[in-house]
Parts: sequence; C-alpha cells; structure tokens
Amino acid sequence: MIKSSILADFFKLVAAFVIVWAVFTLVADYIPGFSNVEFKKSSESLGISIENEERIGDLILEMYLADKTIVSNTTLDSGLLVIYNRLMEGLEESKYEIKFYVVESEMVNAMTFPGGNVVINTSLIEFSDSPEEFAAVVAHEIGHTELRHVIDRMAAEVGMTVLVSLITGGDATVIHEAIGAFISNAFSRSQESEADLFGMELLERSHIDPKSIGQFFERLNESNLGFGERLELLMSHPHNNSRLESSLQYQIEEGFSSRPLPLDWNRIKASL
Amino acid sequence: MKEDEMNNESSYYLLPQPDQIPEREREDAMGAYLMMFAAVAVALPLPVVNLIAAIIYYYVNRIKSRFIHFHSLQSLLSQLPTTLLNWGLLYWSLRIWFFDSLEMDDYYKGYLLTTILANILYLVFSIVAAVQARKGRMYYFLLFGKLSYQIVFSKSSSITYKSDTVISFENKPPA
Repeated sequence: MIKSSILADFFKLVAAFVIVWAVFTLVADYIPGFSNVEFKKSSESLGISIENEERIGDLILEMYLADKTIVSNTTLDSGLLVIYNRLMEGLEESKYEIKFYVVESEMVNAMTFPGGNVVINTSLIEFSDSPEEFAAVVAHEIGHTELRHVIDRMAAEVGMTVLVSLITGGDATVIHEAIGAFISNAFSRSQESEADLFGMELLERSHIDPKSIGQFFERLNESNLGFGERLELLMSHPHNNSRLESSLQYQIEEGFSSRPLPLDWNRIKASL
Repeated sequence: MKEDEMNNESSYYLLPQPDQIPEREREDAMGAYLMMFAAVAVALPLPVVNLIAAIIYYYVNRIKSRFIHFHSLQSLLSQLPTTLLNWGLLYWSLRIWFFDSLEMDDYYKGYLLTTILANILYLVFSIVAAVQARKGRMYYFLLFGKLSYQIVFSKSSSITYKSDTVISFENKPPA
C-alpha cells in the first residue's frame, strides 16, 4: 500500500516541477526587473562616448587596412553610394557617420569596426546575387554598429584599460593586440539576432525586401565553399540555420512596397 | 496514521513515541537536517558539498537508532532533487556565461525561478522537520517521508541498531 503511494508521490513531485517550470517560464517576462535581465554589461554603463568610439575605430581601421588592398573605382563607388543613400533613408537618425570600405579578400564577409566603419570584402559583392542581398548584409552590419555591439565586444575582449589607452592614442602593440582580439572573436548569438532584426527593419523602411537576408543565408548554406573557408565562416557567423529561420518568420508590415535598387549589379561585380 | 491502524501493519516495526526517545537521539535526528546549514556556509556555490556532508552524516549516524536513521535518510533523500536542480542551473548558467552557445531565454528564467522556489521549500521544510525531530516526533515529507519509512521501519530492513542491542550482563553481583 505504501509502495504504490510512494510511486504516486513521485509523479506528483515530477508534475509539480513541470507545472511550476512552465508557469514561471510563461510569467518570467511579467516579473518586474526580471524581464530584461542580461549577464552582459552594455557600453552605456561602460561610458564610452560615440566620439571616443570613432577615435578607437579610426586607429584600428588604419592598422587593419595597412596590409589590405582597398578597391575603389567609379562604378563601384557610385553603386555603393546608391545603396548607402537608400539605407540612410531608412535609418533616419544615426548615431554614427557610417563609412564603407571595400577590400580585396577571398572571404565572403563584411566586418563592422568601431565608430561606424564597415569593411566589405570583394568576395561578398561577388557572392551576392543582387544589390538587395548585398544591402541586406550591410544593413545587418549597420545594426551591429547602431546597437553598439562592436564596442561592447571590444570592451569584453580587450578590457577597459586597453580601450582607454586607445582613446588617448595608444601604442602599436596595444592596437595590434586589440585588432587580434577583435578579429578572432565573433558576436554573441543574441547580438547577431538583434542585428538581424535591426537589419530587417532597416531594409523594410528603406523599401528593400527584408527577405533578402534569408535568401543570402540560404545560398551561403548551400554554397560549396572549401572546408577552411566554411570553417572560418562558421566561426565568424555562427548559427546560420536559426537565423535563416527567424528571417523567414519576420513579419513585414502591411502596405510594404519594395523599390528595386536601380543598379547594374553585374557591371559592379565586373568592375572589381 | 492512527495508532491502531499502525499496529495492524505487522510488516512494519512500531514507531517510537516521543517519550521513548532519549534526548541524545532527538538531537542527532535534528542534526541531520541542520547539517546542510553548515555545508552551505562552507561552500555556497558548489551544490555538491551539502550532499557529501549528508551522505557522511547518514552513514555515521544511521546505526544509532531507527528514529535517527529515518530522519537522516529523509534529510539525505529530500536534498537530491534540489541538488539536481542546482546542478542543472549551474550547468545551464555556465553554458550561457562562458560558451555563449545558449541564450538567457524564458525557459532559463523559468528554471531559475523554479530552482529558487525549490531551494526555499527545501529550506523551510527542513527547518520544520528539524524542530519536529527535536521534539521526538516523526515528520513525513511528500514522497521522501514514505520512502524513508518504508526503508527504515519495514521488517525486511536488516540493520541492527545500537539502541536495539540486548544489554550484555558483563557486570555481575558477587558469587
């Protein structure tokens, strides 16, 4: 008699656990002060101003671009300007002065440097099927900038001391160390999805189809990249699949109309 | 359970009543529950120390008497689920904190709150049980109370308790 009641008690306990967990999961967002708990500090609390971030960005960018070939020609520059202007239309108000740099590289990637500097690899332009796809990736990178992920990540990687020394000038060793830490580390998953959302909203306001980012990821997943390239891509852009999924779930507001970017994309590709 | 019902269950040993339990036994039974406070003070973030302490306490004290055996077993068993929850929380938090492979999502927050609640309940019930044990009373937790009763008071239990051993007649009157 007791034995069966022990079993019943066990199930009661398990059920209580499951129910309590479920209830707490549902109400977690409604508990004041608990809904936005995050482990990571934001740069607001670190107190780095936009001006100082731009100063750090310029320093690092200068060093990073030192051994890179910057690609620049009239076709490319005017094409990028069209995309830039369209995105700025949607951005309305920016904390930063966004700048694009195109560098020669085999990696399908774009990198966001502190202070609104977006470095675009030539392979990214070659890989993009349309200017809209390219704009989607750039919008995502602008998201990292505007949401201050870049400086957050730097603060986490190299520490405040290094950042402060960079603001005040910084010597070559410190800058090298900062670049090394910056390049070898990826954004966190939550930062990536925040930037994805920001990018899609920006695209929508800029009258570019937000699903373009999904198309880009889909092709990236299906593409036959070499093992090394693929590995590098996975490290710098983790969780492609889940991001593809969330981009498919993105709800476009009613009344949205897309305006195609008036660009001859193949001509721009050919100009590289 | 009423007393006459108890007596009918012949497969179980009779429960000791408060006036039959010596002071010393009551204190040891209470100690089983209070053990964890000492353990918590030693190493708060490691949810394994209290478990080790409870296991040691259990094996040292269980042979003293059936009453002590019951309470220390109940104390030991009842901290297993809380300990498991704490391990889970530690593992989950470390994954978020160090490896960033998981997000601090609603499931995690719900689990965190559940674990906090479980720890509070465990604490409250342990204090109540400690007080009851000190008064020489039985106190049954959900599940673990019955389980401990089954293990300790069932006649199939083969442990010989110090309190049960027959007094030896070593001292004898002059021949």
